[in-house]
Amino acid sequence: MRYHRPHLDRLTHLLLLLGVIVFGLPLWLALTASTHSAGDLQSGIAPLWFGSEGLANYWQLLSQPIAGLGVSALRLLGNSLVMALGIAIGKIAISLLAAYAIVFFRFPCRTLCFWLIFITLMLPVEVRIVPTYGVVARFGLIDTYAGMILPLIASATATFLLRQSFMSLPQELFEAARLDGAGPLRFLKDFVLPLSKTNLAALFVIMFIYGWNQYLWPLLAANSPEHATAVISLKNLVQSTDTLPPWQLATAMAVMTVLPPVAVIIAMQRFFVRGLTDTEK
Amino acid sequence: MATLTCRQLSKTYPGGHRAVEALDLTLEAGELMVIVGPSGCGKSTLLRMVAGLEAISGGQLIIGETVANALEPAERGIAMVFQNYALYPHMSVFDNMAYALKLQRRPRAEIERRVHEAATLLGIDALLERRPRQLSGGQRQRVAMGRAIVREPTVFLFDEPLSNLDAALRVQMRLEIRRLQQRLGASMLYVTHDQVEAMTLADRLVVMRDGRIEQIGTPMALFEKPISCFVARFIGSPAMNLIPVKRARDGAHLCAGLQLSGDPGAATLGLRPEHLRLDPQGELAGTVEMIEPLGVDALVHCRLPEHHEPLTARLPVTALAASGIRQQGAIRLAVDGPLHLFDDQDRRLEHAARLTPLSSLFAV
Repeated sequence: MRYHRPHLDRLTHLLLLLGVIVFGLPLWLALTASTHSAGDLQSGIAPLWFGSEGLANYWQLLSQPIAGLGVSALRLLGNSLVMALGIAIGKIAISLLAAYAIVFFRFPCRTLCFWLIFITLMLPVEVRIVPTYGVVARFGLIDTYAGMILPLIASATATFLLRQSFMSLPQELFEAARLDGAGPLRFLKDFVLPLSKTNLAALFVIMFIYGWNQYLWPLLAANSPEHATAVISLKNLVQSTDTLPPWQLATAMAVMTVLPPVAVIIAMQRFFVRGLTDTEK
Repeated sequence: MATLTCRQLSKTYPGGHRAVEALDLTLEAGELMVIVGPSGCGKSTLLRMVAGLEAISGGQLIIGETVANALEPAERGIAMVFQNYALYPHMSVFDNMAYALKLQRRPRAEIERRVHEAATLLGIDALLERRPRQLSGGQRQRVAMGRAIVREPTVFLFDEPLSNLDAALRVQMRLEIRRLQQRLGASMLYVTHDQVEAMTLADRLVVMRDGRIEQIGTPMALFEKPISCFVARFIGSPAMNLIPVKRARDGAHLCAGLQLSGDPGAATLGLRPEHLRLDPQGELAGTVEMIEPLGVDALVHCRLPEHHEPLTARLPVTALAASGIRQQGAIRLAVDGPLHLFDDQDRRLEHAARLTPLSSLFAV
């Protein structure tokens, strides 16, 4: 909607600009701080412009083991990537099949099954952390990628979103495909997947960021530095008892940690923008 | 030779609702049979049972030579055209038509040949690379038919295929379906609620009511000898006028201020609007309530004495103008065609009858 009020336009742009500054300033400070030497940052005044040590700081993080952790940033980012991809793909695979079954098949207690899945929304990992830890420990999965990923890959949100998306597919499509000889799995592959591409892309973005940002569960499930994630390392970096924290490294790590989700959003955005504009199903 | 036979076919829904009851039907090879009826009469359920999209609760369905009750839809040798076309939105027209053949693992060359043949037949060969959303309604309709033709089915099923098109296109596609059917010599089962479509397309017409067949026959047979008031009202446009017959104390049969002679059992008299003509000496006298011009003809709705519903007559516009008939003016009509008589069960009576003015009785 657009009103013909120039003053209103100016006001809204002002508000938008304000919003951008509020959200962008911390990122900007992290970016500039990461290019200074440790000495520059000891003054306690945050520099607003770039320093000269940028490349050195990033190179140090990527090439040398981080003090107190013993692995390089590359390893940390790799771990985060494995976990985030595992969680995103796992969540989508499971909820895709669950939503497909709920929408396209008639079986006893169908609605009950859906609501049982739905109420797990009220049981995020933080709520069930003690029993979940117990189960994972008994399976011997502590300190493995599987242990970091598996407890997080059942998703009521994704099941619900995909269910809504599948329900918008016309029933006749399913019937026409059935007349043409497509069985359930073929219908899933030839129709449901291509027709919900945009929804899957959007879900992937949300779930990747959810997986990437996990803190509590990998903190418990990944004890060794070999499995530590980038997000966890941020806390280790600013934790030092006797000296000042190496802020230039912490901010550089923060910048690197922010980048992969940004990359995923940029890569996927054209899919779900198309999904929003392309209304014909 | 029968290509499709239904024996005592029935459908009962879990709630106990009986959508189709013990229905017997035979579709001959090369025949276009139209099933028509008001919504909820079970015509679509019947079609979906034949297609295999709806489970059969009782009876037998034979397609070609085989009992098809338990076959998967794709194994039945049928192809269906849906009301909203149900084209595959993410596939090109070519892929839409080729999909069934691809699943049958036909050789590439054969698929191309069959798709191109069907596309040429329908005049859509220039559209094969397009997506369904880039097509107009009529083109989509053609693609939907092409998808059916490519499969070379024993029986084509049509589920109200023209109801999403505008009026002009509907007439054109109707002709095209008919031409196509005759050219392919195809057997078709066609469901519609539009009685004009039904009349013009059908070799044989089935009128359904409450899950049963009310009457089956050629369109003209149904038009000329409707077996019940229901069929009489349903076939023909505008609908047949149905006037109740009242018994006078002296045993005479009165109908809209007239004497009905010749049949003692009639409870309802049916008059087609086309069988009424302007006549200053006509036996039916009434007042004009409304005139709807259609071009050459006009529909004249008149009010008769002692009859609540308006009587509709289809009269030439020129004759109306010549005799100065106006709204709210008086009109006299003569019956110029058969009288349809129905008993108190709304069933047809095969007796000759005559309408005479009451006054002429005294004259005799």
